[in-house]
Amino acid sequence: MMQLARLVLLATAFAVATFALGWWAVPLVAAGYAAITTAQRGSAILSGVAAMLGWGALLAITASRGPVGTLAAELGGVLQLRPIGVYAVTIAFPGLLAISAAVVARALASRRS
Amino acid sequence: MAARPSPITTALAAVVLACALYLGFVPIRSGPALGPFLDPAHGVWAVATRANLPENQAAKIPGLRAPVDVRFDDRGVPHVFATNLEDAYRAIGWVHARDRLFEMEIQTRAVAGTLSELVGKRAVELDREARAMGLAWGAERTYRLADSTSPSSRGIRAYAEGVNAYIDQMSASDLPLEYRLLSAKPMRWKPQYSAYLLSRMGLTLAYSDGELRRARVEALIGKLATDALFPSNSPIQEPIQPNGQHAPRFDFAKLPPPQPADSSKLAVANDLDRAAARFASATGGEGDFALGSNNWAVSPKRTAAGFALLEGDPHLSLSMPSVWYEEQLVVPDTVDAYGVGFVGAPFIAIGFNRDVAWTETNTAADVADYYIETVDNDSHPANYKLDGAWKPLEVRIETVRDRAGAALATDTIYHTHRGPMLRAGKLWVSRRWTVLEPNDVNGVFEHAAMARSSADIFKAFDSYTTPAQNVLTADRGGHIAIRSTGHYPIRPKTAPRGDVLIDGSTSANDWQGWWPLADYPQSIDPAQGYLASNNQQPKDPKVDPRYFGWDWPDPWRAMRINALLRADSAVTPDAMRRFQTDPVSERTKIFVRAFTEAVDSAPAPRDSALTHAAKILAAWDQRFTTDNEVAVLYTAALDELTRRTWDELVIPGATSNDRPRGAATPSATMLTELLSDPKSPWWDDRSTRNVVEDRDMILRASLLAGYRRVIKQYGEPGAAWRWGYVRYANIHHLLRIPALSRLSIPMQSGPGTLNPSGGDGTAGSSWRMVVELGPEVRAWGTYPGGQSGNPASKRYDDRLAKWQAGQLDTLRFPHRAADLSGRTLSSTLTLTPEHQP
Repeated sequence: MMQLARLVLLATAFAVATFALGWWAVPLVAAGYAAITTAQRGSAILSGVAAMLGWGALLAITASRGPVGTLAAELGGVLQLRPIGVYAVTIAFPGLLAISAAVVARALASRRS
Repeated sequence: MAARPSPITTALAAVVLACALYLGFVPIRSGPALGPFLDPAHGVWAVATRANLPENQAAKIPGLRAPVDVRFDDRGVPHVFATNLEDAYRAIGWVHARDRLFEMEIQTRAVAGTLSELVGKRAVELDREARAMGLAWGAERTYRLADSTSPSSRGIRAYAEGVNAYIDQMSASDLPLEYRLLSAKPMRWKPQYSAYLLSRMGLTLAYSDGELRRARVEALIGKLATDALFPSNSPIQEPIQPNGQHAPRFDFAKLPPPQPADSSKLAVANDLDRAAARFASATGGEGDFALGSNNWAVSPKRTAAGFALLEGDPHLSLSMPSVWYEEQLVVPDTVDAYGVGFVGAPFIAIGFNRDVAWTETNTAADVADYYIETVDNDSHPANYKLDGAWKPLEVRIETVRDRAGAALATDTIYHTHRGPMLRAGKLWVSRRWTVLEPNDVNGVFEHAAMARSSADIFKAFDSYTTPAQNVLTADRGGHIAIRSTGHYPIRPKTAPRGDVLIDGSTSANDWQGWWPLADYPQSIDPAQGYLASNNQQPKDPKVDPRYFGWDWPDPWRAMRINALLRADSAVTPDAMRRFQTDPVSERTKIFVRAFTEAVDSAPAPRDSALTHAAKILAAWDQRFTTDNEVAVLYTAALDELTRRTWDELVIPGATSNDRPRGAATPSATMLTELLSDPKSPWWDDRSTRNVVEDRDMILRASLLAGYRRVIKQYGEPGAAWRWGYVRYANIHHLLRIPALSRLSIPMQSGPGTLNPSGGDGTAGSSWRMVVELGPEVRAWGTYPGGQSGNPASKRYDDRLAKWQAGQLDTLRFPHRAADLSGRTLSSTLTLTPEHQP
């Protein structure tokens, strides 16, 4: 239960930070979270999943305000991907950023301690 | 305490992080950086949030004098209700920018030669061509010389204010898709860009380099034959200005035989041709380009309802989004007009108001001449010779840059008093072209929108200069009128005609002014009860023999619409609509008969394939409908006939794969003229030895070759030959991105039909309109694409299906803002002055 609450809170943090600051807030949030949770196992994975959820939530909000499906189809054509591929790239990107940033931050934090 | 990540895991994560950050921050080639692009809040996904029109929107515009109410109807058309004209232009500038910002920028850059700053090195050659053409140079001069207090100057400044107000207020989510793909930001809009746009239309509609290309034709077949094959008067006369005839007149004569090629002239001619080819991409390429605008009007005595009817059907290069934007501008007691305007300018170019309608087709008159100049230095000239004295050349240094400002190419452009020079081998040739002359075309359209009658439309167009247009008008008083309007040069009687290269060393060969208005081809309320123009030669040379141009577009469309209008004495708006995509070509009737008669006259034994092909052709209904299964055979046979007949014009050394293979291709009217001379030496196929072919032999060989070609390409006769599989429209996105284009659209159209098609299908009907000038004006229209430039919007291509089917929408023409409500209203935009709460 605690883990789920953490996931939701972290996903919210990713979404809010992205909305307020931009995409580059993702590695910052992930690194910050990793730095303060060095004692927890799996925090990098949690960051990655939360980042994907956070961006997924933002995408869902965007979809409620316009035809995201049509856009995905057009973008898929431009990028030579299937529409699902465009969604996948969008969701995977913050996950990759968050996990890698969390691992690096955790390694650095552990070294200091 | 949890385990610290292993060094390998950490190193791997660091590499992944570095790569992800690099892709996130750094654009790859000319593509976007992934971070801001994929951001689901402000990145490319936000484009979807701007796809639908907001139910209510409000914005402030600096300089606005009073609030403006903009109502978007259920077709996404803005109806602008303002209290003064300049506010209306500010509002339409804001709206254009919101719906078509990228289009406005890219077409401006295409004229300015700054595309490379947006899309990178791949546009360098296009930019160099545009700068060498001098379009932006001419537009800047027009803007500089214009009276800054004139209504049109104030209008384009107000429009720029509206555009820039939108740009300044844009949020990150408002950035159009194309800017995101290119990692670019919009440029600010300058008032003179509206003049750039008209220069671009001049390039599309009034550019000609035939004089340069004609030299090579002359070197191949001699002057006499060249003059005959590319005449200044069409051999089929169906002029715009009625000549009292009730049928086309065929002025056929025997074509002089080709002379042997003159190799001494060929080298220079090739240089001239290469110089012309340099501008091929800027001018639409060298392919079979099917531009063919139509307009016609019917007087009340020949309409079912007893009201004048007008049709406008301009054909242009097609693009997604369209060059047109539909709009209504209302300023009480000043203007209440509806129609289409170009995005990039605030005026309605084709449309109607409560009293009168107007539309244009292109007048293909000769408004550009080329002069061979004598310069003091072949490589780096500083002076040119005029009347025995050296005159300094105006020098323009043009540097094409990338987005970072780095120089990609630098060219020196030299100008004589006539215009920019181009280099053709050792020759320097200057061009005088009406499109580069100062003009006030925007002001003309402003006045047209305020006209109360057809006479007012003529008056508004009195000062119209370029590109020359056949302006057709009809009014509620029942009048119809047409005039081929624009600046036409008066050439000295002692100078060569405008269709050849002219000696530039003497000012005696310079233009001496412009034709007076009274001499323009024109007609008001003709006895025949209708008027039509289809780019054909406007005036019968028997009425006025003066040189007006050459190599006129074929009159097949004019022959067809005149035949349809002659046959219908109770024309309805729906008939006008049907005529727009009429599938019949007058040309087809002539050539189908020629092919079948040639086969009938063939000596026995006849080739069975040839007999079968002739049988198919003879049974054809001669309609270019999408389900037609014979049109493909006819076009292939005609293509073979054209190629085989004009083999004298094949460039020495050209292979069958070369494009172009011939120095030029005479029009189909010349081929028609040749049909009347069965033994002409032009029929001889020079690739066959010891045989001299005549007309019927070539017709048979062409039909057989066409038949075999079609079978090879599409299989046996039947469903695979459907015209819809063969001929279609291709509407490319402005960046030619296939996914954002609308390609392979089957069309009811064919060569020589009122909805002509040809080549790569990239040109076609850009706007179709029918207006009934009754007590309450009614109108119908559509264009390919939609009002929005946003590919995620349903308004991006919502008109395509009807356009393809030849259907029209009813145009809403409200008197008051309140007339649009409920289901007819899709969005409201309220624009207020910047300092108004």
